[in-house]
Amino acid sequence: MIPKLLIYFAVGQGVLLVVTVIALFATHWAFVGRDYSRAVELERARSIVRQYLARRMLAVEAQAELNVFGSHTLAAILHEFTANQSGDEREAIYQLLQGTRWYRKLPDIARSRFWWRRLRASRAISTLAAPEHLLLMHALLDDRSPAVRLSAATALERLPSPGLAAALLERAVASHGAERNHLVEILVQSETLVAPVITARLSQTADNETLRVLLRLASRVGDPALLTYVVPHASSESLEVRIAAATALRSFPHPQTSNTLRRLLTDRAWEVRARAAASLGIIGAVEAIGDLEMALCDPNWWVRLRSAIALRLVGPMGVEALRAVQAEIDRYAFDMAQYVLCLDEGVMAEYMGGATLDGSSPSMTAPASAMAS
Amino acid sequence: MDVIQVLRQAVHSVDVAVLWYFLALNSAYALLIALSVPEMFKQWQEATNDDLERSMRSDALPPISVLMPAYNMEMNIVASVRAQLTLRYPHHEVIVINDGSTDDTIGRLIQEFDLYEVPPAIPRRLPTSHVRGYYRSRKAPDLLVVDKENGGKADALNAGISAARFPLVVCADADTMIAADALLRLARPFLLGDPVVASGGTIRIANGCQIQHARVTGPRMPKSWLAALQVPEYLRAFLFGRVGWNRVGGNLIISGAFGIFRRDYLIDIGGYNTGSVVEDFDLIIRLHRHMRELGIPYSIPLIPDPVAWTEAPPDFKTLARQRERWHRGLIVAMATHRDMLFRPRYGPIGFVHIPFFILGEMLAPVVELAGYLFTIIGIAIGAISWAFAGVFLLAALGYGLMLTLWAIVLEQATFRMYRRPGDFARLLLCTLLEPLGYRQLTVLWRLKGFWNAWRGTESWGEMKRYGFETAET
Repeated sequence: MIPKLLIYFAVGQGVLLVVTVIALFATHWAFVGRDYSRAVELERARSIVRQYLARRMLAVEAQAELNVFGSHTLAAILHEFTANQSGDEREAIYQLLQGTRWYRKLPDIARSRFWWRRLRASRAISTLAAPEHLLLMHALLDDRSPAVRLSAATALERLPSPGLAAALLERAVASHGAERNHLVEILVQSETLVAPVITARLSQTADNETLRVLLRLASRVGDPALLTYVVPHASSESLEVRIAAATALRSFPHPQTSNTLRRLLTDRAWEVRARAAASLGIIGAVEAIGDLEMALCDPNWWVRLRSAIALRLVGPMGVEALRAVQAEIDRYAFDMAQYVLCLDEGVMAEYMGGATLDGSSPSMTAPASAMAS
Repeated sequence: MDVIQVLRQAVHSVDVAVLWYFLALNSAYALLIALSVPEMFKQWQEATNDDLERSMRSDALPPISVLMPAYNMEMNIVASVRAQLTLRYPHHEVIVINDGSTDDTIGRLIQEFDLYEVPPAIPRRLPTSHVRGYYRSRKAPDLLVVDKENGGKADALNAGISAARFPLVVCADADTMIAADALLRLARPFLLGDPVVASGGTIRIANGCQIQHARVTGPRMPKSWLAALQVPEYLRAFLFGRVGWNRVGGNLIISGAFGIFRRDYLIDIGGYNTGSVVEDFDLIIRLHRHMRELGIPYSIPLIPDPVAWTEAPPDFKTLARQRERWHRGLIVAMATHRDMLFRPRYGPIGFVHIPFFILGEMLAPVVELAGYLFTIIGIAIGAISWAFAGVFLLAALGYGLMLTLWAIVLEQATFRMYRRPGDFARLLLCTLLEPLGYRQLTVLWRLKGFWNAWRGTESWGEMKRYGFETAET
């Protein structure tokens, strides 16, 4: 009655069931045991590093003892101590670990064909990197695994190389969303290194997407030397670039900025006009009050809103200008002025914030609590 | 050939067909396990790193709005909101949507968080039932409370999506306890540049766990046997049922109790469907449909390491209602989206996911019941032998049991939530006991879902909650 195949299946399955239960117990106890032995090993390694930092042990002795431990323990020690120490003590830990056998093996592990091994090595090298690792870091920045690339990017902090900064910039341009934000954040932290790279790229690039990233980066870095390279892009044919330029200029409070933004207040695209108004408010351009008053009568609601907010941000003279708006002259401008005059500080702050997935700001949406109080 | 002979032959044929059905179904699950192993390994490798810690110190991670629909949550609402406000994430806001509670939920919030009403100036991007008011807190600037008339969970979530400021929204039940670092972990695929439109974390059972301030501090197995029997079910569902799908075009289910979504796409598809009893399931299918129709590359993965804890029904009545509703929702969703079936433009969703959910999930209780009945009848009339019945049970139950055991092997090899020997033994015992009685009960509850779907029932039924206090040890 029963096909032979099913009998084989039944027997096979019974055997497999037993194997599974055994595997389950074995996995459980093996991992519980491994966790315990790793915890013991980690505690021993911590004690060695503490003794070394307290100068109760020579570097050579500590390295000899640390060589006994596996890569898991040494990586944990590296991340734990570098997160909690700074200055000379952190440097001492770097030197200690750079003398271990594990450190010498890291470049080989970083070239492994398995991505997870490259990831571990990348994490360690990006913290411990020395100038001889520069080429390797370039290779890891181009790795096909995004996790490896992300880890390798943090090496810029340790290896202040213009070449690495330029490579990271290219990577930021090629990426999107949160990944791009992350890379931009890393670049911003090395501003002295990045500013010359941005300068060179801003004057050479014609690609709009690249220009957008560069302008955003320029805005974040805020180096006054960049202003000369940002201003020409306010006249770009591309709407996206003009928006980016209008937003970036808020980081450069300077008469040249104010003049450019005032010109952008009459741009053909409302998105540019709205950003220009917001930027004028942020730099507190008193000289632009007249232009902002005119922008209050703009046919676009967002431009009127941003202009009114900008007038409030400019200070008492701007607030006075808002109060002076008369309903008889322009009903919409009057309504907007009244609305913004009644916003509390929290809502104002929210209006200036806002966020989108790619980090562009300010957002063109009302904050949740945008309400008159 | 007499009538009895024909009957015997028919019963035997049905039994063989059911047997092959279970072999095929469980083999499909085995394939999902095989697919989930590399996926779990990948996620685990990415999860055990300090890159996220570094990104915590920067503005790289996209800000998140956490939406908490609350209905009659007077007892737990304050602790829940506090827990959500203190999640570890660089920039997040919490939006509580009081969905017309008949108890003092809004009063407790006003009192504890010093709320003040603010005039509405929020663009209503999604239609919802009437919003009575918006409240901001003097104590917690990142808290917004939306007080609205009752319209159901989907309607409340739509109100929250409208009010959200940030590009990502996390939808979480008010009685779900999100692990402190879960948002950080959920955001990982965004940081890695994946084109994620929605993603879910793992849901685990909070009953019996050590809980402090609405946060699980010590995972434990539930003391109640009924709740404990659901633990292997959840592990099976999340650790291979869903992780495996990451490698076959993405998930069709992101639990409504804890998931992250791109807000712009939610608005594009009109938010949650207020007419669906499984609004989370329906939403994901519509997201797939939308992205496929527009031809935008996307992914909807399940990330196993962000964990949220939920209260499992510890009594039969509530559990029966929950399972009936889930199955009814599955049937209705499959019927609604049947036009996606075998349509090339929907890719694996039309050719793999929906056929699997119809044949493997929706029809499973019908086939399983038929299997039990025909096996008994077959033995009674001599159509099948005891040996055949044994093979049938091995295929239907033993194979399934083995798959559950492998899900636990996966859990033990990676995250190991239940480390205490007592909990591990109890988990194993529950896994072995689950096919004996409990599973058959769920078959009956799911069958009731067919009946109610046929009658057009749309209600959720009362879901009795016992609250965190009783779950605390």
